[in-house]
Amino acid sequence: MQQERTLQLFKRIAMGFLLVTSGSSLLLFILTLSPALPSLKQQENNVMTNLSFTQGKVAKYLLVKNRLTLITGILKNRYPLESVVATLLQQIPDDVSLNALSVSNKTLSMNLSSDSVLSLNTALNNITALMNNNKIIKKMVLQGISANQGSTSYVLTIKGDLL
Amino acid sequence: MKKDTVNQKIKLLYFQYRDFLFPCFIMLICIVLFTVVVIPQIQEVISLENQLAANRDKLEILQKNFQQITGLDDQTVNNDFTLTTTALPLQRDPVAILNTISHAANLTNISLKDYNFEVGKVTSKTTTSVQPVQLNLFVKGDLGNIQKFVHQLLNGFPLASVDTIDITGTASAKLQVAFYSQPFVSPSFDAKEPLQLLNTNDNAMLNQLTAWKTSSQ
Repeated sequence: MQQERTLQLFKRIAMGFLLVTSGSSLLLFILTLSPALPSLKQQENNVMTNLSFTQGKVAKYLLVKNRLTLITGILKNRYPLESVVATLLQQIPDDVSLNALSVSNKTLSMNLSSDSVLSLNTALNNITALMNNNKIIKKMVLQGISANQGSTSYVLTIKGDLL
Repeated sequence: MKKDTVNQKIKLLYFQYRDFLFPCFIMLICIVLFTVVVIPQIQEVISLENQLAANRDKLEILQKNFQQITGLDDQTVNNDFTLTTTALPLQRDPVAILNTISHAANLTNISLKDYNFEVGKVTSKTTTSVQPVQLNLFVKGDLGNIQKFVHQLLNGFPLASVDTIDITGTASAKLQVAFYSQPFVSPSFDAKEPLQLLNTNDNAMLNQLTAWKTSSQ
């Protein structure tokens, strides 16, 4: 009697095993046949085809983006010579004349003249203040101050390194 | 004698449990089938799901790119293209450079005494880097106008930089100017990657270029 019940249990378990194995196999097989992937591929192809019609526009747009990046780089690395010259000229009082100004490879050479030594001193002080405030000028050398016999004007020559 | 006893015991056990053999055999076959067939099927389904998810993402990106591209105004794209390629030409353009210089000189009352420059190869197939054309300009005009001339060059097209300035007295100057160009670089666009739209900096730069273009006209 006991053995009969055990046998029945074994048969049920075997049947369960059979059902689970065949059922899950069938279910998984159906899942692998899901039409979602081919449908997605089809949609992808459609969009790709549509995109191919806009290739010219995309190319132009990407070129614009590329140009803008390059332009930003150029402007960022461009030495601000215009503002450097403007700032230097602002330091010169009205009664001081600029005889020569050279800005090249971050070096400065300046030649100023005036009838007034005091005005030349003001110019020198202003330019020195720029250096002290870490603006434009990194290093400055006063080349000389001279006066010619028979002339009332004084000449100041400055050289320096720019930031 | 002993062997006969063992055989008899086996026979006895067989007759006692032979009804269990078939269910046990079925269970064994099921276990084997589960291992050999069902587990690989599970792996296949998981991989298929991953593939589906990846394809869905890809499709989403493609659709977004398509929407963004079709949303772009053709006229705006063309204008931006013209503006940026005028600012940074695709090749060295001596005519445009000379036009810019003479236009700047006219606007600022500067007279050009002399100029010389070497263009080199107008187009280069080997280099894709920014190519400046160096010029030496000898100009005549008062200090204020020279400054305006420099300003005009720096804010004009093609993009330029004034690298050296030599002002002599208050009436003349020698300038070393570089005008930039950059050869055509084929844009690489992978439609399956999100399209990089113009950002705030790009738009600000476009506005600045437009302002320069307007002011130099």
